[in-house]
Amino acid sequence: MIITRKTLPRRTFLRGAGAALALPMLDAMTPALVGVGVRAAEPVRRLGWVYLPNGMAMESWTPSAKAALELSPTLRPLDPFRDRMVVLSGLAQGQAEALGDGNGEHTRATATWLNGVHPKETEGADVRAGMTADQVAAAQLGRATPLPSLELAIDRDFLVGNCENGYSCIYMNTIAWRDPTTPLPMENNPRVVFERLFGEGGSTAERRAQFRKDRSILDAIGADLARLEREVGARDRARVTQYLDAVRAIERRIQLSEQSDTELPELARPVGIPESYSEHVGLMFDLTALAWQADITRVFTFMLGRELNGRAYPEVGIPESHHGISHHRYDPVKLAQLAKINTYHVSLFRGFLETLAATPDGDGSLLDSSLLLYGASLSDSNKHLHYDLPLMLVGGSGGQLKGGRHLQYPRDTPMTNLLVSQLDKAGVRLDEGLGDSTGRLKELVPLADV
Amino acid sequence: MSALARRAYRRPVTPADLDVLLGFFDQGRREGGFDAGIEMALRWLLASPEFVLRVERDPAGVAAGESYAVSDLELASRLSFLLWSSIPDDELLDLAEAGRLRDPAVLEAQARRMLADERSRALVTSFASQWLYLRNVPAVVPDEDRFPDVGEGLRQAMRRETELFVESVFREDRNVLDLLTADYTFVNERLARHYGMPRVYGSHFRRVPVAHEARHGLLGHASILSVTSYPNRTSPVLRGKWVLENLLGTPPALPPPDVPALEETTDGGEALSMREATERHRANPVCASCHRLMDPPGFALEQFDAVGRFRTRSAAGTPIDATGELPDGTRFDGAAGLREALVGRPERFVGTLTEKLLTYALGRGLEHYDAPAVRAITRAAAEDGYRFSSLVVGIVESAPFRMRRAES
Repeated sequence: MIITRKTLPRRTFLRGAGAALALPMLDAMTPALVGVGVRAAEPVRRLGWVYLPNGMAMESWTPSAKAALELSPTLRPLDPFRDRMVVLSGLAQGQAEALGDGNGEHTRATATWLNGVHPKETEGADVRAGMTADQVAAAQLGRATPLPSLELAIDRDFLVGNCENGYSCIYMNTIAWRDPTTPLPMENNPRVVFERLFGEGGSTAERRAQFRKDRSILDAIGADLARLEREVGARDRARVTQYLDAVRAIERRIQLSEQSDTELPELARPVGIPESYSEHVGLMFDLTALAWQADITRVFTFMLGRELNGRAYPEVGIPESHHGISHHRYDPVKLAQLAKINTYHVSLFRGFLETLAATPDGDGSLLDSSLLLYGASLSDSNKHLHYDLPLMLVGGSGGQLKGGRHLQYPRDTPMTNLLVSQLDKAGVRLDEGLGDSTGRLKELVPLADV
Repeated sequence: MSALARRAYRRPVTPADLDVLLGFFDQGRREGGFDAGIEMALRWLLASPEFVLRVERDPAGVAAGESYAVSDLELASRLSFLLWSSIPDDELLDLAEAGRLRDPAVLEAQARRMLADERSRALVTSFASQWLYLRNVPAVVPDEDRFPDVGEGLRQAMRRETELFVESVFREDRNVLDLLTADYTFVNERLARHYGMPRVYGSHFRRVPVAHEARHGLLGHASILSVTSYPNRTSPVLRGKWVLENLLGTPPALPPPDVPALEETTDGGEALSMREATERHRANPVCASCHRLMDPPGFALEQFDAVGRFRTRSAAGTPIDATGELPDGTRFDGAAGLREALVGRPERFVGTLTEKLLTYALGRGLEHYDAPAVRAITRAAAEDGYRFSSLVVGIVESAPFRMRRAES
């Protein structure tokens, strides 16, 4: 059996049919809601991963070799958050090395970033990598929220072209894998993200009336999908499961909405993709903060760019291709340009941290309850190095993260040890480690006294 | 409601389907009258797994790994999603239900009918925009200092030109080599000004003859010339790679790590230094193995700047040298010469287009066992003057399109 996702433009179809609906059903049903009132007594933990493409100008990124964090030029915009940050140096993604496979450094860097699993070299549909840390978190932290996780990007996916020979384009499109054969698509349109989070808007009463009507339809879809799931082969099951998950998410949301009277935050539905990069990034961060505030999800991944990305940043005086500059041959001028791009990204991230710090959550702020990993999958982009990766943790993690530190590890310490430690801090259990991890980073073990 | 369900499910409607639909209709009507009943039934229809997913089931009695012809109904869906990116219409469904679609003559007639239908425009917006990288056009952000005129209006016009042009070749059923050689294109005032074409006014697009030979066909389109450039300069390497991958079907290997990039020209002698720098780069034998193939087509296109304007001299005033040769030794000069060289071996371009189209039709990468089908389609198309419909008919009648392998 084969299931092919259709490219049917459903909105057009609906217009053509003259139906009364403005949106496909799943969107139209996708509501809002919000379980602030029904939160468990246990403290909420939120996790996020922010990905930068094309490596980093390491000289400008890496702080001085001291244990107390001294901000490097690239990190200087984060000065107000210094005591919330832990910069980690020396970690590696050994599974991103060729290991006998061909070219494809950017592809393997993306595909291994959050799982430490060497991806299968294939251009076909038989892609294979590993379940990623965010999805491990989503499976546990996501039980309490309408959406288990949110996958965001700025660039559009590529299905053909602009990929590395020998590898399916899918590997570079996403950093999130639900399981070894299910890469999750990342959404770059703020409007679609909004609708996924909040539906079409409307008052709480309107949305609730709609939920009641939708419930019987959801039951019927669930029954059909369950039957289909039994019939299909392993490869197609992921698609059926994805649909089933979406249905379950809506059902959960209905349940939560009936237990809670929380109103949605006031916000307007975005029209589409802003033209300016900074506005686009800012809007995606704002939506993420809202999703956390409303407890619609507790886990997100966000790619600020796709590998090989040739975006120019004229807004900071870089009219040339990011990927082009990243092959700088150690030319000081190019390195300075690359550092400028890196710093620009950090300054956009700072905006997100400010929003989180300013948004109350329980006794503290959203920043207090979260733990974010920010970084790239290559260090020296000129040589496509997979070790000494530029990485930092930011947040409070419910008092679990002691900030203001620069942790330095021997070369080839697996980055997955950091991911395991990050999950650990948020109370996410891992039974079998993650990819090539060999344990936790002892400097990050959960603090017993908080 | 029954007619709509048949279209949505792309198969005959069963009494059980109708029971479910009427159940939802009744539920809606009880709560809000007739309109609410219709809405409820429609909501079900549009969310039901049978509409949202395309399911092909292995028939009983087929062993795992065995190949078999898909059913007529499944073939109808394959055909309509290939040509229309949408569901089959009544005529196609009628034939499939009558078991007649597998008849090659009927299948061919349907493919031709559907191509002629305006819904086949989806082939342009979906297939061609991926093949030709048109989806990258919105990301073209040329250096404002060097190209102050390039804004959103021009970007949209670039993309529109190529869409309309490809559409004309596909839908007028021309020889697909016209994609490379046509002496017409589509412009509005903004794009015509960019190209230096006089007397085109207003924002609407119209078909115009192209007098300037270098500008003929896709290789003269600003969209393609821009998406294969850097923001501040042309890149013979990127353009050459694009030609190899997308027109000749021979993608070069990726560069080794720590590849030295081209030196930036400091004297402003953009084009000539570009060629010199590129050739110096090729003095390294490791680099040369690929660049020997990749760069020459890019040199030919040096006649166009990073946003697709024609030039005979570089920014510094040095003349452009646009000569080169293909791997087989064919020499050429400029875009027109490159085009002639490409058209001189039509089976390579047409074979590449066939591969891309077949990949799109099957929704999977091609495997070695698909190669005979690609060659057969290309050969048959040659006898029909490489008309677009002959490629499409060849694809829909090919074994990969009509068959599938049972799940193991």
